[in-house]
Amino acid sequence: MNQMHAYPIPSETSAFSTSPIVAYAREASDGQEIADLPLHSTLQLIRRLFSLGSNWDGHGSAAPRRESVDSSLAVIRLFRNLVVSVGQRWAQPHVSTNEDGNVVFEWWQGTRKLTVYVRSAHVTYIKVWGVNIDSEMEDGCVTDMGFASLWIWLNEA
Amino acid sequence: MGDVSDDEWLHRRVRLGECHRVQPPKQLSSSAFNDSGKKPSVDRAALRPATDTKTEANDGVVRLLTASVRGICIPIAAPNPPNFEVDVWARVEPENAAHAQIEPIPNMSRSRFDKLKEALARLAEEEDWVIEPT
Repeated sequence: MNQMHAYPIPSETSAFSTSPIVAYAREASDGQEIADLPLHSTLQLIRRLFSLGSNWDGHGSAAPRRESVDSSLAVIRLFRNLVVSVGQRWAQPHVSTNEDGNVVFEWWQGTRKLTVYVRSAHVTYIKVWGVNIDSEMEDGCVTDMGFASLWIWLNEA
Repeated sequence: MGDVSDDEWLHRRVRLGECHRVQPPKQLSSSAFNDSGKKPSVDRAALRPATDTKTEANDGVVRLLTASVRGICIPIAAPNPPNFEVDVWARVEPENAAHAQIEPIPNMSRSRFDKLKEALARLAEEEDWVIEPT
């Protein structure tokens, strides 16, 4: 897994206080802004995660973790800005949480799929282009500007 | 090798919120295979009607072929018969004789289990719905 230049989670990494992701986190806590309109439905889906309790899926999953949900509001704004900045078209993700209560974003395009986990210490991704977990998937940490290249990979399909 | 036959179909309950797209091409979230013990539960289709796999009226049911589940990973180099990194074992419960589990061997790391869920979701996407969620 590539650990270089990984995005820190804003609330847990004061050393990165000047990075863009922190600025977005502050905006997120103040509610929705005009720039958020393209993300309106996604932000609503994320906030609705707070309504889920433990075992919300009947498979023993934890309740969504507050720090992951808060961070995901910032992360999705950053991702959209990166996509738009490289001239790509944004698409709304599927929003859910995993069994540990971390927020999961997913996008499909043709035979390719991109999944992003907003974890307690970092943001990670899985690229999927088949069912073999050894030869048809790749994972790593989302890096500086890295999401744009993930998005371009997804949309090359 | 697990005690469920390669040719057995496995049913898994899926909720509408776990689907990005219900109509073909189906798009299923990996969260549909969440499991706190990293051993996703399924029902052996031959032993239980799909309607009983649902726990809520609006639930859907997807299916997976046992052989396909075992084929997700490259078999570990092992003595004959081979060990599979992902296998299916009957885990009978008092109220559900059809209960089985998809079990990584040995236990998987967090990131590897995330990939397993991706693979299971993709396998389920390739099959028609047994019951569509509503």
